[in-house]
Amino acid sequence: MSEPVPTLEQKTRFEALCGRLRPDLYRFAFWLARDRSVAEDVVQDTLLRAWRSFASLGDEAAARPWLLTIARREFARRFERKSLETVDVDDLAELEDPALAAQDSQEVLDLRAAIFALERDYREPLVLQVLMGYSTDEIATHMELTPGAVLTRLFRARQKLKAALLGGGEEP
Amino acid sequence: MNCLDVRRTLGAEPGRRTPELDAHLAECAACASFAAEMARLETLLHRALEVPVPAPGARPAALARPGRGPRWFALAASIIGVAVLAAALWSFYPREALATALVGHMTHEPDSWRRTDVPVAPGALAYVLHRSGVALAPDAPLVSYANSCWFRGWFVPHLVVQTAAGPMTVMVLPHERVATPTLVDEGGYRVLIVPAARGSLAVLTQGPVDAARIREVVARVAAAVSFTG
Repeated sequence: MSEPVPTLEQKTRFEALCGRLRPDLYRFAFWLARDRSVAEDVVQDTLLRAWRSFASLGDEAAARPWLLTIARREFARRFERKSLETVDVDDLAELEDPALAAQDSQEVLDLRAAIFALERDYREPLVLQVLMGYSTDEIATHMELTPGAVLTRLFRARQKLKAALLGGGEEP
Repeated sequence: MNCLDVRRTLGAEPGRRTPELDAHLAECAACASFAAEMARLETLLHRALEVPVPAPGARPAALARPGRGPRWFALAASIIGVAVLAAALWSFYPREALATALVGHMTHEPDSWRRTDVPVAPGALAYVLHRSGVALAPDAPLVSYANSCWFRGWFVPHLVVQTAAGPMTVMVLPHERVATPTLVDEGGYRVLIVPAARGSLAVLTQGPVDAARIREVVARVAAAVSFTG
């Protein structure tokens, strides 16, 4: 069966979508992978896959969660092939990246290091909430969790970050 | 709502505001201090998470890895090319589009347009402003509503101020730069966007309120707003 030929209108809409949502998509992929190269690959693969099924996207207001869900699956597919989660935070070259360090205070750099060290279970809902503006219910849908579980992870994530910044133990 | 409930709520959803939460924060200094601490953490978190995004196509070598055929490269390069174009177009997004986005945002919080003389809880206002690195001088018009809203990629203060001409919505937009003031009527709202010390300020009214009145309010708000972050 031959692939359907996209219309000019579809191409224009997709182009606009790429320009608008690429920063969110990259940052989401970056914080999943904690690696710029992997993040860029995930973004490219996500856009390719999104383009193939673009016709199935009815409401463009849903484009961002749709793309982030595809990115999550693309990352999971890579994770099946490579053990990306076994990165040692002390060895992360990303933390030394001048682009990341530029114009940021030491406090922000310390916090970024603490986020790098968070387990993905805590990192992902935090990124979705803080950076993407997702509600608890939206995170629950995205991660296939209950809202209660999402709240617990968000609470624990902030506890861990505060503890890392203050250098003490977590609050009870 | 007790202190433990408040801390659990703010620890998971620092942006959450409810009348019960605001009432507790107004009475409990320890929890108000915790809320301020969480607000500061949120500001830092946002900065830490917002890593720089490389320009599309900045690392095309990734597409040339072994195992990827020329068809993939051509398709991906095409998409990256259009993304570059779209990003460039986005950076020149016209002010009219900003006004349209502001009007679109108004539909999310229709209950905020109340005529009242009751100010919003000081703790809630402080949180909303602090989250975006904004401060408001005491001589600003009475603020009856404050929310930290996700708008075009940033959390920004969404305020409603009470004026002689009725309630007006003020959006503080540190990340939206405009060169000159713009006044437009859109979707039943009158929108005035003006340059600010950082980014811009937008004031919206329901219906065609006299532009001179809107300019007066914008001038008062602009004089009262400062940027701390």
